Amino acid sequence: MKRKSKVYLKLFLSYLGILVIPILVAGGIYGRVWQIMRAQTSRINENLLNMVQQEIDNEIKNIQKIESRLALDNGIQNLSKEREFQPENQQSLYHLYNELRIISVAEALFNHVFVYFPKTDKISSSLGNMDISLYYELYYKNGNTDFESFKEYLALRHYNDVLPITGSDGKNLLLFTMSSLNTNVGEAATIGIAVDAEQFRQKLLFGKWDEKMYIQITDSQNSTICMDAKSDTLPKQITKDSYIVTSVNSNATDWRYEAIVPKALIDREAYEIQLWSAIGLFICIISGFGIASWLARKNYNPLKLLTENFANQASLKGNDKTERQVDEYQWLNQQMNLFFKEHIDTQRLLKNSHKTLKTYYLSQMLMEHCEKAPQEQAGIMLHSETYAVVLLKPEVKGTSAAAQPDEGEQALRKFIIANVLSEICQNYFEVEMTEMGQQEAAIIGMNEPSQENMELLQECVENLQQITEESFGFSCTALLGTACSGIGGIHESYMQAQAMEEYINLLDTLVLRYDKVQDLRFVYEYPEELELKIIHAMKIGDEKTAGQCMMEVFDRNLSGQVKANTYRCLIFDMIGTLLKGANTGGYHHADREIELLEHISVKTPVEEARDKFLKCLALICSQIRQIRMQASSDHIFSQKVEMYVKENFTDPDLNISIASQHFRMTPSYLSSLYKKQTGKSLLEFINTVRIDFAERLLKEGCSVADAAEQSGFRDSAGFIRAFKKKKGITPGQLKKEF
Amino acid sequence: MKHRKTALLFTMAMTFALAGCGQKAGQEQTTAATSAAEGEQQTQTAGEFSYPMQAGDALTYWCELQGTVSPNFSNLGETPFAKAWMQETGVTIEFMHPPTGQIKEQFSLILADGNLPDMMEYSWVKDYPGGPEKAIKDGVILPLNDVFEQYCPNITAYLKEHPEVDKMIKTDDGHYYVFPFIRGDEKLCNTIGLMLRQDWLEELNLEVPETIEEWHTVLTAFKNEKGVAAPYCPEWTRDDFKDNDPFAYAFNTCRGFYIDDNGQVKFGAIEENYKNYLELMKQWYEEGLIDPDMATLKFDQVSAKMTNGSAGASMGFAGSRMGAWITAAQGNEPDYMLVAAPYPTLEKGAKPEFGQMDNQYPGTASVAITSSCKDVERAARLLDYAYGEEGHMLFNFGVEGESYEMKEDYPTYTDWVMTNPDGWPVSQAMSAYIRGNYNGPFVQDLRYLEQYYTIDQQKETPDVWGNSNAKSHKMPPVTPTSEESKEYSTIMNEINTYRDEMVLKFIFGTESLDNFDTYVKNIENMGLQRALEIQSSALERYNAR
Repeated sequence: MKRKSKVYLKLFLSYLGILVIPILVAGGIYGRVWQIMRAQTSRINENLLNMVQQEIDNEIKNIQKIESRLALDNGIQNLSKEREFQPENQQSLYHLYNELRIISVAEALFNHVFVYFPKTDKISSSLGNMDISLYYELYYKNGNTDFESFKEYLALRHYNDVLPITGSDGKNLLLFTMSSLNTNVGEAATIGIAVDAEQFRQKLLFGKWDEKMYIQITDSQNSTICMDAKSDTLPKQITKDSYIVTSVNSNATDWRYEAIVPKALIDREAYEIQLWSAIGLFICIISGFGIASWLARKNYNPLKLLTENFANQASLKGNDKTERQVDEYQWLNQQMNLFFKEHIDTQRLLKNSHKTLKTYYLSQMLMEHCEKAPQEQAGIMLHSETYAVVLLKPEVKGTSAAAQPDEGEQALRKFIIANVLSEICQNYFEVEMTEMGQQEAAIIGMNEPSQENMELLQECVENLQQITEESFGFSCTALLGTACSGIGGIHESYMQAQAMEEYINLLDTLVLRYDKVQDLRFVYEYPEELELKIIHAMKIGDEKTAGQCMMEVFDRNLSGQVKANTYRCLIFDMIGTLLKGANTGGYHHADREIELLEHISVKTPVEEARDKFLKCLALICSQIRQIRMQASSDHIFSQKVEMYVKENFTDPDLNISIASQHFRMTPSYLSSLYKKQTGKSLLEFINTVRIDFAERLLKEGCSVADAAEQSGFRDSAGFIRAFKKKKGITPGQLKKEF
Repeated sequence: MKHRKTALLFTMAMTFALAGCGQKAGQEQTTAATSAAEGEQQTQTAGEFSYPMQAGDALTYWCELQGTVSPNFSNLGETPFAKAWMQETGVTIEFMHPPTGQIKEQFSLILADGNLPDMMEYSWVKDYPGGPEKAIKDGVILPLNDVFEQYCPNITAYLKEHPEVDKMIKTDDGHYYVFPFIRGDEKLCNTIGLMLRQDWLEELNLEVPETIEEWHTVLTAFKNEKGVAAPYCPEWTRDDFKDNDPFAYAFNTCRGFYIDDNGQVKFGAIEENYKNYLELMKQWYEEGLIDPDMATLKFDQVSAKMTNGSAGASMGFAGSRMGAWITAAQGNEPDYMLVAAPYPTLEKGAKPEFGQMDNQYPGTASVAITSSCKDVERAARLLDYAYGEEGHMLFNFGVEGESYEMKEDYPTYTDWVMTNPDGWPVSQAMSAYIRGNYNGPFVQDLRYLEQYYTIDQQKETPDVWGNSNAKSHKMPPVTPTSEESKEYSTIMNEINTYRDEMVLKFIFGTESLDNFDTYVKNIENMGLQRALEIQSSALERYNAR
């Protein structure tokens, strides 16, 4: 749970991070809106003030008009001249009263209208005619204005003057005054119109679009005449900073209408926008967060599943759990990378094994005859009717076979061959390549085993050879088997191609085609006299003659188109001849020299074979010469022994001890010396001589017992036993045959 | 930003949706309320009716805001009286008041506008040009006969009991047209009379004057002994005071129509007696006994002068004048006292033939239901309430426990009314709770007056001022026919204007009384005879009711 809330917090914080931009934009908009509102406020103020100005100016003009009319009134002018009102003046005063009353009734704005006659101190008003003292008493008496100053003010000459004054009932009045237009100064009546300031204050409300603002009328001295109906006093300090003051001048008087709007008001209006923005933003944040988290959960759940799967896998694998301290997404990413790496590894592995498998199947097909290839599994695409196999072996041009390039380079070359060939061939044939030891085998599928196809194939191969030679600096030999039908044909063709290997060295060409080689005739020539000649030459250790004769045989057989079999026979025969020669020459241990030749096969280049044979011959011959040198001395002693035996064999007592006494040496030394020189045992030699003599006797018709006695045998039984051992038949049997 | 925009749209949509819902719901509610009210009305008409009524639309009520109310309340609806009335009847009333002193002008304006309030309190019989019958014909107000019959059991019952009142409040055609202000006792009809400084009389050792002669003595004494510039200070700008000028009555005449001993309609202002009266006035004016500014005297000035010693005698009501002045002046001058003087005569000891006396139906402050009224029943029941027992108590005594208590079956005003803790005069305190102390659509109760007059001198007034044969000379509230009325008002407008002008000229001396005959001739030339004929026939019709 804690972990979850942490996740949510993270989500929320990152979400807020995204919101920084809208918040900044909102702030900018707010600032701009404030300015616009300020401008609009001023404009509204001005418009409203203009309205107010129109309204009030109209009223004032009306007041001034009425004042002017009264000022021009003859009756008033006449009355103003009176020092004292006589009863007869009362009539005029009564008329004046009626007139004023009508004006007062007609003009809703007016509180009352009066005319002050300074000479008589009389007031004629819409409220009735009376002394100024009573008038003052009734309508203006309060602490603010004393009677004398009031009277003094009224007695002054006025023209469109305004006096803010408080009535006795506490009402604020505006006293508009104008002197009647008499000729004589000091006589002029003062026409006064008292207007409830409240009326103007009400009118000022037209311009008031908010409780917090003030609208006031000020005169030319900047003192307030009246404020709007809903405000009583202005705040003490009206500074430019915290208030916006808009003013419009009156057209009718020296008044000025001022709208004083606290900036805080705009702030408040703007605050509302701000508030709404904030609320909107908040709702956005919350709902956005809700949606985001919903989406996150919706998207996160699969993700979580994924994470859990990975986690399970990881734990199965025994991975450390602490790794999960990193961001889940990061972790997941790591796991994914890991997974894909594994996947790629696996795929590579799979590919490799696939390749191996393919190679295996292909080599299987090549090596063994099988009718149905497991093509599908191995990815081997072979659907043709017939197949030909091409074996390719890279060789560095100019270097001998002995200097084999290292493994890596060889592999590279095979790779090159495989790629280039399949590229070339796949335009015409189905191609499958596989490695077969040192060689690269290509199975070429074609639909009919025609000559054209084979020619085309050869062309391809030649093309390949050209490319490898030109671009990669090595050449390669190619062995082409014939096209054989069916899957089984692959093996057949392979065998053919392999057989061709023998011809690489025999035929001086890089492309070997079985069908061409097949046609070669088997010609072999090795005359017996030539062999005997070689053996005799060897017997005496004459290696030169023997070598000449051997090379003659080589030349005779290995010229022109040679079949591998010819070469093979030649090699066998030559080895046989060498062995024979060695034996004849008395060298019985020639196998050591022959070992040199064991590596020689049909594949061995002819020149190399020739050299090796000659070398071997030279070695054998030198051995024979040594043996001949020894035998010339030893054989004299053994011949003496044999002579002694042949002279004395008829003596039944002759044995090795008798002979040793004769030659004055121990029987064992005699026996070994003889054996050394002749290779035979002395006893056996004695027996052989005796039996040979007996045999002759038998053949001449002698009886067995006579023969035995005459030939030196002590008894006939021993004779028979020895005879049978030597000749395989009994003496009796031999006698019967004759 | 995107988020804000979306939010904004969302908010707007919500607002519209809400507004839409609200409007619709409101309409439905209104419709429901209306239909419910309709249903209710039907059942009410069918079954027994009882107050309060079901809530419904507010009714508009146009009336003058009395001077005793206006100092404390800017609208009658704010008074405890109106609140109680509305609560008891279940009707919400929107009171509309014309500016003080402009009632006639405003009335004309409203008529011209045509958008009438549901109810209008006005002096229909006197001040509607052409009279009430004309008002009905003009389609301004409704004839109320059916309305009374259907919805107004209280007033119907009262009129049945008081046929003389019933006679007064009808037109000649027999139409009821208002819910009338009725003075419930004849004593309530004597409201205006002369008064003068009792303390000065005592100081100067003078009796309360009864004859013109004595009055001259007293006023002269006031002027000379007390140094009062102009002792007699009548509120001349009030027509009802001028109509009832006691000094004209002393000459058995008045400035308007009266009924002579033979029951004939007469126009006083052209008679020889009236010339005598004018001579007297002229003389007094010349002598400085009458305020030189008499022609323009209003309540303010008269009050000021009567209370500050600038004048010693005046005329007016016992309550709002006499009582008020005594109370006000005694603050500065504890000895100050006014006393009512009887209607003067020429001969000592004679019973005054003429005097002020209102009709029981003075014609003022009576409420008509206008043709603009949508819910006549509601208005009628609202108004009829005042003529029932409970309404009568409310209108005369206010709310029991607040403005009055029943003491031995006598509704006694509480101390709050009589000695108001806020220092309101009794008239103002009463006006908060009742209409009894001025007027309105109800029957005035004498018991109000018995308590309203707190000072002995006041309490004497009904007797002092009532001691005359005024009743026999008083024109009843006659109603000219609508055809006649236009002609009549045209003639009388001219005559009255001329008469008032000339009267002042005679008094001021700017016109010699030698020219009185010319004056009479001029008035006659203006068609006085025709006016008299109209009045006579109206009186005949009235008497024949």
